[in-house]
Amino acid sequence: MIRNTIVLFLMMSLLSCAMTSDTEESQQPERIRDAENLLVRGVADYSQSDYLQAGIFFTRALHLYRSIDNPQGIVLSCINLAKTSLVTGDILRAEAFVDKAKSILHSSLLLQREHLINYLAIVDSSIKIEKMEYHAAKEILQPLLDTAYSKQSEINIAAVQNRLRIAIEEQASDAFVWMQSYSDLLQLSESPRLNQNARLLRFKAALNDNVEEQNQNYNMALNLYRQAAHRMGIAATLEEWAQQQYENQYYHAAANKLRRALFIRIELKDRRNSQAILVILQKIYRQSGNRAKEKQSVLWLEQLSSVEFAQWNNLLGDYNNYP
Amino acid sequence: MREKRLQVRTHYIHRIKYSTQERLVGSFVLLAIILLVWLLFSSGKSLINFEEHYLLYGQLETIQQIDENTEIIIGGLSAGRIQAVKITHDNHIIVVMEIPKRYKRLIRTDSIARLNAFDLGMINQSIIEISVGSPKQAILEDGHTIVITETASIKNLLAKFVPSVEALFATINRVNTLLSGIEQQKLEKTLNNIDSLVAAVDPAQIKSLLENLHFIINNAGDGIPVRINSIDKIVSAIDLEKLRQTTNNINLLIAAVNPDLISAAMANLHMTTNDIKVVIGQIKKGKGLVGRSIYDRKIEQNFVQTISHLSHATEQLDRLLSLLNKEMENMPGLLNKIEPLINEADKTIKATQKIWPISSAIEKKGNKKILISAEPLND
Repeated sequence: MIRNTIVLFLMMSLLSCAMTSDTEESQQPERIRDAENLLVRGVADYSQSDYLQAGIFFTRALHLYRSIDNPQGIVLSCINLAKTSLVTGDILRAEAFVDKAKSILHSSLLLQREHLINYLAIVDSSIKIEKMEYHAAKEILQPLLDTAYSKQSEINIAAVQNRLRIAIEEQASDAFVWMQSYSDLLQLSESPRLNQNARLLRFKAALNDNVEEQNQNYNMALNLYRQAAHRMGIAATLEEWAQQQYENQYYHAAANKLRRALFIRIELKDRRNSQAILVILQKIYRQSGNRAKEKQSVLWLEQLSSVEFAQWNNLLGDYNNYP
Repeated sequence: MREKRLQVRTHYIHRIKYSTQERLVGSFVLLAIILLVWLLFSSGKSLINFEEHYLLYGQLETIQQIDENTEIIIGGLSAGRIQAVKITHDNHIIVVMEIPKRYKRLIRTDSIARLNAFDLGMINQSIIEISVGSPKQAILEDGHTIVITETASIKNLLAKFVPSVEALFATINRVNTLLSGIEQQKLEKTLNNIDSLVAAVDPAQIKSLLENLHFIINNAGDGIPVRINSIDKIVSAIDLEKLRQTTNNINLLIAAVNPDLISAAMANLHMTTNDIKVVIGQIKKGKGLVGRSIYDRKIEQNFVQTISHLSHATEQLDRLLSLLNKEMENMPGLLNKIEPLINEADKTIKATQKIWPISSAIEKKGNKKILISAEPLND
């Protein structure tokens, strides 16, 4: 009886051992796990539109990865930092991180190397678009566009999005073709995000000459972005819409949208786009004969150029002098 | 005899034919498989999966944590699941609900669908509750749309308190403005002057002044002449220099006070006194809780009783607090004892998580997102 119990017990132990699988996590050194957790937290903050906090986490991750000379981690941190810099309008910083990531990718054999190279191409093309180097951007995107329909990956969709943006910026005749491709890919995508649908509506508005339909598309895009609390999207839509209204000489409506967009850009600590908004605001006030507001816009331009980020929030509290 | 004993000891399994043995073992195995299958299909959710369903569309204004795990409750019964959430061209949110056909007769045209969203910190769950319709009403057929009303979430409820808090802040700001109108230095100076003025007054002289006044008042009725000597003393008791200084200080004090603020304060005071007047009038008439408690015997008794109960409750609370204090003193020791136990439990839980059936349900490390989505957001 006792012997049977012992045998049964041993069998159970053996079974438990067989079912127990040591996870990958416990095998990883603590430093790598810490750095990876920092990346995870940064990505979570980025998806919540908290780019400042995301940047802090990615910088800490980069330091940690550099301290253990981990090229995979350094590349991931650099790509994330490049994207974070890009959304906050710091193009030079974004470019520096892309160059760093490129040099490591070309000199080391990393996991998912091809995926990282493609990903980097998207970030690089975005930088080129911001710098209005459209020809270079198109060349970077071409290999990804060739496989867009066959692969239909997130990177391919992003490539078509950037290509469509170039076509719109260049006022090219093939803009409608690219918009159809983008729309088709979103339809084929398993779960298109709210902001991707909103982006499509913004593209439609930009390519539409009918003011009423344009307004409708912008309004729908704005609503979708608001549902997702997507700060970048809201600001960009307001800016584009305001630009259209400025061109159609609806100065009051355009100024109202630009002021709202300016608040978001300042909140995001985006110096470049904040300054761009203020330049248009200044033009609007000058054309509508509002001297006082025009002066305030100039004053704000000077302040945003000289004041440190930490003190920007003090500017927002000053409602009486808000441009 | 020996043969017979041996025959008795032999297990029945050895006495039956080989084919019968096989059949028996097979039937046990079959029974186990049948049991397993029965267990698999008998659970509620599995049954639902094999049932016939029909689709109902729910129209919503906002998505409040709705996903495929959102439960649908029909008349208290858990029934159906969310198949998809769609956004229409006119920006309405449509929820596609998959309902088992056996519940079809419960959902009628007068059924009310309500979305209960629990958004409390970590608990983010929504339930769609559909009330059972009247049998007299028509059944909602496949593909029909039902409007889902949304209950106020905790966040919305809290938002309702915001105006009250803002009003409170506005009041604090007004009080601050009122206080900032008073110049501290001038106030200090005035107070010092009042101090020195009070110190300058000789109590003996005041006393003699009052005696003289008393004498004057007493004798005034009889037409006796005022004692000029005493008035002289009064006049001589006043220090003219100090009197001038005091007048100056009073002037400064008046200048320091903002007339607008004072008039506003006076207006408020006037309103308050009016209110008090009304309240006192009500009380005198025996109206209101206070008035009735003064004039009504029964309320007075109740009031006294309540006070005694309150006192009793306070004593009990006091005792309770002293007990709680003692317990709290023991708390650090208790925590120290619990700590190793918690650590052990933590280890056990972590070890359990690695065992096969549980480990498969836990999210793999590879699912963590360490790279931002490729979608360009900079435009």
